[in-house]
Amino acid sequence: MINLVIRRLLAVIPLLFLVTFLAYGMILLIPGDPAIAIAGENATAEIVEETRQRLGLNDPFLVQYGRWVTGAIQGDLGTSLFVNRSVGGAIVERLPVTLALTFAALFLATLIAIPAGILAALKKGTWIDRLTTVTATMGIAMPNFWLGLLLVLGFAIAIPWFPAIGYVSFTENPFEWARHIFLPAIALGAAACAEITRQLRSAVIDVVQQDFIRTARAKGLRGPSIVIKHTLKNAAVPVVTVLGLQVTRLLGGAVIIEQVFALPGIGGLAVKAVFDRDVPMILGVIFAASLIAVLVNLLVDLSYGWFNPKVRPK
Amino acid sequence: MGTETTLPTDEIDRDAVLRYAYYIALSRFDPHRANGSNDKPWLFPAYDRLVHVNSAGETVPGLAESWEFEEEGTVLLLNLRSGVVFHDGEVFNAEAVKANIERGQTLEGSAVRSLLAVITDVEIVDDLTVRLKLTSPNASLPAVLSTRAGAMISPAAFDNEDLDVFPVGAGAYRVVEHIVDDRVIYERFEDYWDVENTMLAGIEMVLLVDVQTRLNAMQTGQIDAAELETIQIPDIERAGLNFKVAPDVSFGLVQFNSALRPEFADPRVMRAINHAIDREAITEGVFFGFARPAVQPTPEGYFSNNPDYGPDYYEYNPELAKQLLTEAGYPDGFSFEMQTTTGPSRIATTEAIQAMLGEIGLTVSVNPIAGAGPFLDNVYGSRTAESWMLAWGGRPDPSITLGLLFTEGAFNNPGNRTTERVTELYQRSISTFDPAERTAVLQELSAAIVEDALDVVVLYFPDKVVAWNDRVQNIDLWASGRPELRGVSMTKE
Repeated sequence: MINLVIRRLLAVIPLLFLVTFLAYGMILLIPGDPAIAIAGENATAEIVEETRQRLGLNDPFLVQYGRWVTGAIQGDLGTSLFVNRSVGGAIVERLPVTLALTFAALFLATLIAIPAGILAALKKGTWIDRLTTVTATMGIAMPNFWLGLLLVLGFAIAIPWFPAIGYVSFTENPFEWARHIFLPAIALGAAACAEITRQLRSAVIDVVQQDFIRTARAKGLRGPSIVIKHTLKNAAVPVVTVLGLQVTRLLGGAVIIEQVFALPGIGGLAVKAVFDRDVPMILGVIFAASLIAVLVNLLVDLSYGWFNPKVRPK
Repeated sequence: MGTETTLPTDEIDRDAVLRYAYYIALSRFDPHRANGSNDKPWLFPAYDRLVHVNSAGETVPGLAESWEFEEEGTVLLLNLRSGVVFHDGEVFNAEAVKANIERGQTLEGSAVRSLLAVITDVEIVDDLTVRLKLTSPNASLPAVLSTRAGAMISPAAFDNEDLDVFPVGAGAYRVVEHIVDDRVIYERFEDYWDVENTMLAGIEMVLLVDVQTRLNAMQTGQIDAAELETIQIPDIERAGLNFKVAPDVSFGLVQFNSALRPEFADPRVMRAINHAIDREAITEGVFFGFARPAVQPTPEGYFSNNPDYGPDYYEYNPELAKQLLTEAGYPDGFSFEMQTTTGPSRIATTEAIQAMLGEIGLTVSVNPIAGAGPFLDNVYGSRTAESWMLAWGGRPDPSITLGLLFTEGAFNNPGNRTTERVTELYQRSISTFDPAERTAVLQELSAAIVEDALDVVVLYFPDKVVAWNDRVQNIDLWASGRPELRGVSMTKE
């Protein structure tokens, strides 16, 4: 087990190299020159050239990337080209908001999806099943920013239960935190909820048709016990896989939802960095996001062993 | 454009904090390195400037109580205000002015260097008087000193590591909290020289990029005031908010590179194009009436605008346009490319112009360029574009805009076309120092630019909207296009 974790963590290193290298290459493909933006709207051609020199933007691609990697290995993600502050600091400041949003979305999504999925599967073919499936399809089809705007119109403006914008940290005031995160989390988590519901429904349908369930039933076990002890544990593997995939999707979706609800998360940082061509900041955000994605996938892989002893590494 | 209402002082709540939303992030809090005029709303509560502008765009005293040009305009003498202190307790004086101007000129990464290049030396006459020696007469310098170039940083804080994040100015408010790219919390600076007229106890300025989010936040009462968009006016009315609509100094234009295409160097061709464009159709069709047709490069009511040259100076008349083209020797017209950026209103405007010019036999191919950087490089950098539609951002003084667009060798005049009288009037506009006389010269210059049909065809001035709730008083749209909260107050709840 520990060996597996170590091996997987070591494999992360070349992966991060590859991701940041590709990202660096893609940034160069974005038209526009950060030096023009940094030099300001009254700059002359000489000032722009001087800015380019100062920031090392004239150096060859590999030299620039090499400089970044050397720093990153030593734990220094560089300094923003725009504001004199460390990329690492900016990410540490904003990442908690995005993580809170992502996991609140995931939490609410699972909270709704688990009973809905099980119910739909056990009542397969009835109106309950059909209603769940239709709602889930709508959840997947609805763009999250649009749902966000509808939620604001409904539950912040028409019925003023929740704030329309802003964020309060959990440590400052847990109640206010929940009030501020609720609407964005619903908007962000709706699609994930729908996806998980559908996965769980088909997984449960699949499992309840297996022989061991029939055997359990024949032994005289009744409803709840069969569902919780036998069905769910076996149906969990595909669901956890989807859950892991959702985390990365939610991180991406958070970029838009953060703008709609004006949450000071990493999304706003990423968008501004891309518009500014703030290369170290873009790389820093990509680095942090990749790291989270990789760690979540590792957790998902490890959970397989817990759900299904057959796949446990020897 | 100013709307001053005076309230009985007992109704004003001096403990009120204004929650204001702005839509463009601050680049940096160091005013010499802050790279755009969009930074002004964030910078100016904390940084006072040598010169202020009022909401109509006229220069008024700031940290300099008065100024005068000497030695035929080659020296600007500034009389500084006494008793001014910076937020760190340092005293503001002539030394501080000299140090700031020199810093702006020499600092690595300074974004105001080109604005200050006209100053060759700062001479300290006494503790509260400085003489700025200039390379040549420059009447627009006071307006330049109302921008970031005239913002005063405490010299003791010049080398602060965190100056990009924590300002140390002499403004009416000091920053107590700054969450980068999210919000800035300002608190009234009780030692400010004009603290009596600083009515707000503080400002909470929030970055809200999305315009619908700004309106939502105003509707839920989380924001007291914000700039919105004209298309939202029905929603603003429905929400019961107060609002004001007015244009500022930014405008839409089409420009032609007459160096690349000599056809455009013929004023008859340019007059034909002017007459072929139905400006009102654009302001109605693209902007739903929330833009004002215009032929002059400054808005109606602004001091350099000549009231005799209304939008119908070049009335829409395709027949006349065709006749002018024939006179110029192009009875069958000709074809050329028109570039623009990819914003929906830009493309719609350019396509409308394409159709209108098509009516008089000019075949236009529209080429939208993704990204402002590459577009600006085509039109003003490498100068490879034949014609283009863009929004001109406006400058603090009309001479700057007119000089950049209409004088020989100017950065924004790639066709390099001008006329003798435009050149002469422009020179007079920067070397006439009496405000009334200068206004007359600028109006004459504006008229000459319209009559001589140079490479720029002015189209419209789009309206801007500011909205506020019932507690907010004296908020206004600024001709500069950059809102300032000076003078804003709130009533008691």
